[in-house]
Amino acid sequence: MAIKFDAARYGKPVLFIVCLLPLVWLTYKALFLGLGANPIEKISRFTGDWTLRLLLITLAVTPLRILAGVSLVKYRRMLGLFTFFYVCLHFCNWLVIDQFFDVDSMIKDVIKHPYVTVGFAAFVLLIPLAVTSTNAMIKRLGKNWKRLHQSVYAVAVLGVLHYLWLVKADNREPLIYIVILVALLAVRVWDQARRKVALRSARAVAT
Amino acid sequence: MLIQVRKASEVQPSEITDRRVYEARRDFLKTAAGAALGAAGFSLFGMSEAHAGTKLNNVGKSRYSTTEPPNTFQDITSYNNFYEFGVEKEEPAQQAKNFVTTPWSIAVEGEVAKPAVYQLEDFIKPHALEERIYRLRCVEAWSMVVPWVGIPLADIIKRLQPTSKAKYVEFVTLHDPARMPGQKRSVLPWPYREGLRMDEAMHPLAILAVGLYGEVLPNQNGAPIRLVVPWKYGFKNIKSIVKLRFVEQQPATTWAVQGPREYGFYANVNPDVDHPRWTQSKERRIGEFLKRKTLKFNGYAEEVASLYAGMDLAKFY
Repeated sequence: MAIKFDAARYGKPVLFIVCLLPLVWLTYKALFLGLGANPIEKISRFTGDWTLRLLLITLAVTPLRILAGVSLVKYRRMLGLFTFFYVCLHFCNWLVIDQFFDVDSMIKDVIKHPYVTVGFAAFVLLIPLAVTSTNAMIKRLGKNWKRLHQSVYAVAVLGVLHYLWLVKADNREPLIYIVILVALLAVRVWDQARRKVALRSARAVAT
Repeated sequence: MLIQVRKASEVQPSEITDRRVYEARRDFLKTAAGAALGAAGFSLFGMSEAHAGTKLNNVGKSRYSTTEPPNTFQDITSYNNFYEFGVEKEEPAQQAKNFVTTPWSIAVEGEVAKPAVYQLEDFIKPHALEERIYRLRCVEAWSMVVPWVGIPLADIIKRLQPTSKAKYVEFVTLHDPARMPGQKRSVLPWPYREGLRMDEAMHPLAILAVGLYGEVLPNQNGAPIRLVVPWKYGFKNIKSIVKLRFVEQQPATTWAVQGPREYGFYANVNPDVDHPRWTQSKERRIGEFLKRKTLKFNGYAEEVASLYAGMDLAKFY
């Protein structure tokens, strides 16, 4: 007998726990297995990886609806906020552990080194998205809410460039993220074009 | 057949040495020969069975060693940039486990009196081993202190007798994707090549390392023989060397081919010349929490700065 999963009741709590699992794993590793010779770099890499992954998963919600008719829209806010959570960990690791509050050196880094510039920009752009994620904010901003949240596409582009521009020679993983991002955006573009065409022909029939 | 007819050359069963006697003799020879050949640092049997963990004997101390404490053996052997065995830092320790380094030959070519191919033992035998505790600074802005065991490169070069035409020495790593699985991907143009100007190669700081922490060099650290030039970025310290070639023109080096705007031939550690994409003014010493200021020539300015007097180090990065 199949056990029915009451998604309406347990979906969000389960997703919440699932999204925390990477952090749980990192903590476990740090405490019991060790993070290797360069733990700060390990943490940076891990939190950066999960920021990008959650970001792409968040961006995959609409394409999934378009292509498979499966709607996970009600989970998208949580996924987006967890993206922000991991980017905060990533940034805090940089600020606190890597640079130890050497703000002067950090500012220089943001100005001089493009991979830091785009990374920092992506982080900064995510802040208003996190702040305006509440129901009250959605009501308050109305039409502008959607416009503001379209900046998540810029965040994704900046994020993958951040990764691509910091690797020395092995750009295989950044390129995989880029391919996935392009595919996700392509589905939306295709869907937009398809609906415009459908609208035009519907209007043509009506007149 | 019940009656076996033997050839004259075949061994009689009675002639086969009892296994226990055979092994006892080997043990005796190991210690006796080892004592006798102590000057070379390798025992007769130790050489053919050399593997990580084998102790190196008669390793002298050097005034070029730093007094800074070395990093742990664990850190030095588990955090490696050795793309021949994978691009992640932890991969070489795993992927190079079964890398066989005996027999190993080194070809000497180019502008030398007698180009030849040497077996590693013969290449090293005439020289005394020295411990050199050196700082190693990676271009990625992390560093370690490593207690190498090796031989001054200058001593080896003198023996090889380069001609007056030899202005540079080029080093080449093994190219064998079957034994070095990372080479199956062209993440770098294989084989790995590096080079030094002759005066750099003859500098007393430059060594060919064959050991670490008083033992034979572990595979992930560039076994069985690698270059150590501590005043330059880590990528100059080519590993698992199979060829030395003495040449007139500056040789192409792998990272300079891979990223000519980012990696140069000289690659002297220099806090005043940033990598195009990140700063070189600070470094993370593995094991420490706060970052350190990077030192010019990795703290070996007193010894090597004169090699580059008058040279624009921002141009010749």
